[in-house]
Amino acid sequence: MNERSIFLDAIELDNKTQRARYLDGACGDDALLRSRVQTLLDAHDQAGEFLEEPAVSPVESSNSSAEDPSDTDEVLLQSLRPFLKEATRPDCLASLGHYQIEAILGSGAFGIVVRAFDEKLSRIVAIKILHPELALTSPPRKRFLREAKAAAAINHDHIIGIHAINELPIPYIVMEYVRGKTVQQQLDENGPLETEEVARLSQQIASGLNAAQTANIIHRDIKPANLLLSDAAVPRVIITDFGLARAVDDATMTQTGVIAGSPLYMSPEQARGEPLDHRADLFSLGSVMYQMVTGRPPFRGPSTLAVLKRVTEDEPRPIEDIIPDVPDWMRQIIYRLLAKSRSSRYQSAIEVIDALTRKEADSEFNINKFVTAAVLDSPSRIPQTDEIEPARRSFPERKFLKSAVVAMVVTLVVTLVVTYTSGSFLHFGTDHSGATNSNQDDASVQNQQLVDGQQETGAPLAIITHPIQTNAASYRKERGGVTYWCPTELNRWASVTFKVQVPFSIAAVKNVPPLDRHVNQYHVPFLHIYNSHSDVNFDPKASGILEVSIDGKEWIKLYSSTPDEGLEEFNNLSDIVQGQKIFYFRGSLFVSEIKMACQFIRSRPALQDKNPYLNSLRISGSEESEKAVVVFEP
Amino acid sequence: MNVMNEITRILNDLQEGDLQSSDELMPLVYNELRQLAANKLANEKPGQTLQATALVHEAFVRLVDVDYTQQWKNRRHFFGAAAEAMRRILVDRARKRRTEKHGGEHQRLEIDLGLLAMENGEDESVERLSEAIARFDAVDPLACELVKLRYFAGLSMRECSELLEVAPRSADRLWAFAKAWLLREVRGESC
Repeated sequence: MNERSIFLDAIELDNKTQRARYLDGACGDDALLRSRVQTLLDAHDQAGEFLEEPAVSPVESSNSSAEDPSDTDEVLLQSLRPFLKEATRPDCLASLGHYQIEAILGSGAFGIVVRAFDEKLSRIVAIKILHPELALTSPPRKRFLREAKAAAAINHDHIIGIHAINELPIPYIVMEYVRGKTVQQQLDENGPLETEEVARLSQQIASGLNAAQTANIIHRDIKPANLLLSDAAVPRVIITDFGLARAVDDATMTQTGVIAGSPLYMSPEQARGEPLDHRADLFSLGSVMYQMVTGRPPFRGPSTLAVLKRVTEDEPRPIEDIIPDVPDWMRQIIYRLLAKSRSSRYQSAIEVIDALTRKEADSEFNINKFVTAAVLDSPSRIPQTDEIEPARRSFPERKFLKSAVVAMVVTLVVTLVVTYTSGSFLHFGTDHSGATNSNQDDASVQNQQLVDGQQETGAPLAIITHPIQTNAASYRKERGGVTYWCPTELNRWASVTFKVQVPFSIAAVKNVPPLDRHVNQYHVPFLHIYNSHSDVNFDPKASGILEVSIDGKEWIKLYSSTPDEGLEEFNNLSDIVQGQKIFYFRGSLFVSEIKMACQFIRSRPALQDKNPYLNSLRISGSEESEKAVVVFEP
Repeated sequence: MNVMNEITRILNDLQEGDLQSSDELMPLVYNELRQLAANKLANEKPGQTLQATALVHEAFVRLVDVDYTQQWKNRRHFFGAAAEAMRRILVDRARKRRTEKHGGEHQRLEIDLGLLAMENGEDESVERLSEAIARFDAVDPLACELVKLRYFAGLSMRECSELLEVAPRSADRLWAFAKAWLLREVRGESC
């Protein structure tokens, strides 16, 4: 073993004692080796921002505007200046206690969040500093500190770690620094996430909620902006901002008329100002999952009041209407989390994790609750106001299940039904060997559905609500081991849901004035094919084909790419689609490519004017065939 | 464009396993990046800084015949060369600034490059880091490539993991090791 392998194993262990023990075993008598690994581990713990920001880059990302960032920073620090001292480290803005403030990360109604260097422990931290004006009055100060105590009470991978809570010179909370963006930013920039990723992240959030539940804390403000995603190749979710958190007993005594939290993600009981328990957070989790999967929150409205009304009264728009290829099990989990009556939801975060792991909306844990009369948890976790109902669920697409006594049997039946139903979806459609005949079958099936739909300009086609793909797997994964490079102007992604009138936009893209020297590159990435292999590892034998079919007629090959021959163009898309309104693409298309072209259009007001139909674009695909079907609505 | 054809040829040679061509690639990319940086700085507001990713991508678009060389292997070569070029540019600049006196006559290009803002910018640390990276190449070439792509070319972790063809988790681990090793090296703590 060398220092590298020992180091890599050691960093998996968070606990210092565990690490030490591991080092003992791995290094044995070799004191030199051990000390080398130790220095590596120390460097690892203290690395902080080292190398994270590219060598040539803007001074600060996230909240800075295009204006001179240091000005904004200074303005934000203004009110705090009386409490801060001069920085002693170079490039730092100020110092607070033994922390050297490096940069402002964000600000809100309560105060600001900064990134700082802890001189005592030589590490980077995040510090939330309360606004001085607020620090004077007792309620905001108390609330601020309560947040810290709530989060500090929980020690968990997916809950922000609290290092210290100080009240002098002004109240501030020292937290672990997580480099990355919020789920909100991620969704704003890249649109909805694929099901696998949603499942993975949701399990992490639920895991954090479980820790909160165990500590008897309700977060009360679970929303995408409060969920951090670490900046790694495999991002980790961290729940932050426990500003509204309450201990369970505390929460049962709410002040009348005060509704705290973001209305968009609030549970009905919260909206009504009723006593809460941890299941309120589960509802919010459902709202977040809904947004991760569709790109928009489940309950929207023109005003807070309108939103709250919908939260308490309306069912959310069916997920399949927005993104057709979300698998049934995921939808059911989300709908169940969004049940108005909390006794219909999952009763604990563990059940949610279980359901997500097994990809079954029914949780095994649920059976115990209904079959055995014994109460599993302490009274504070069982709501007093709702009675425990027998196994009777009322999700939008489920059948009624009656008696609690047969819950066990019923669950089995349900499982079978689910399997059977998804099975029938799975085998719907054709094989994808690429033979012309099967292409025709596909096309004719779709053609049939087309004919059934409306052909009026602007009216949605009936076809849109039917699953076009042939199995329920999510397509939105990017494929082929190639990250699509993105020319400088296009470094923001619009949400996936928009329409584009493709023939026109391609022509428009080509006609952008020559000043923009990238223009000719865009139509290629837009339709570029890629290796159809779904793993990151490049498969040298894989090839990609892009075909188009107009009005469900025969498939016309546009491009093909093989490792040997490279890119070959067969037909010109513009020529083919000229004047057509409805067509399908089938081929190995990166979602990012479509986004890129559409984003380009959105970023040019002149182009946008020419594309009045910039609305929703549906993308769905088949995991088996690794082909995508993209539908453009007129 | 002549340069474009040249680069395309080199990338194809590399594809076919002719490793000598790497050396030819770097200077071409280097020139292009310097030129681009200078132009951007000349045309943009004073005080505005550049973004590595933007520069590198723009160079890619300008230099590489996109239609012909979309294959990922070429992109990896290109980005690798670009990262290396960026590193050279920054080290050159750091050295120049270190040895030059203030108020001297500079060539216009040098002044422009002098505006390249550095994160945590002391010139000595750039050189130290660059040297440490050079030594790191012998320790873990893949992790070293990752560092260059991330730090000099400004690519994201995800992009790097795909370019290097490693699983994202492996990329995270490589990155952790690289940071720790380089930090230790730069601090002069290795025993």
